[in-house]
Amino acid sequence: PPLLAFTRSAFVARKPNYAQPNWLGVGLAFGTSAALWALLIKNHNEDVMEYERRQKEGHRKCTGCS
Amino acid sequence: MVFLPDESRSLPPPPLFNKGSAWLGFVGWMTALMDNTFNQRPVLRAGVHRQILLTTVGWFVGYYLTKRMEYIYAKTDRELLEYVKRHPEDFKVAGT
Repeated sequence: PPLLAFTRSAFVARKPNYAQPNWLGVGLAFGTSAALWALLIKNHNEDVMEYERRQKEGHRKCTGCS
Repeated sequence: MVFLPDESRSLPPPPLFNKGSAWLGFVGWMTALMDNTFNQRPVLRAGVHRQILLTTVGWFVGYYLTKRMEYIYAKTDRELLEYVKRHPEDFKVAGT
């Protein structure tokens, strides 16, 4: 059925230009990658510090089990 | 349903390079290379930004999935060992 097909308005549809790099796409891709790595590394380091902090605290019995 | 409950932070965090992150990062990279193949682009040299992005997304998702997996295993182990401790009569060593 036509409703399921992905349609674009003929007024704004354009043929992609492969002669030049899509700088917006490239920038977004690199920017997103950098942001994801930064977030991942930051969270990992925070988790390592939190784990070491809890180890130093000593084990308290059964906090809200399961 | 929380993805990573607070008590999961009491576990040692998995290294950044772990089986989940490495594998899904690889899968992401392969997806980018396959996309190049399907669009008849040079497989390795085209769309490096896409390759990096998809590898990163895979790595990111893989890291958190591994973290959750280790938490679930640790939780199951804890519950199992608690049960064993509470029912020693069912877990006598053979012969005693």
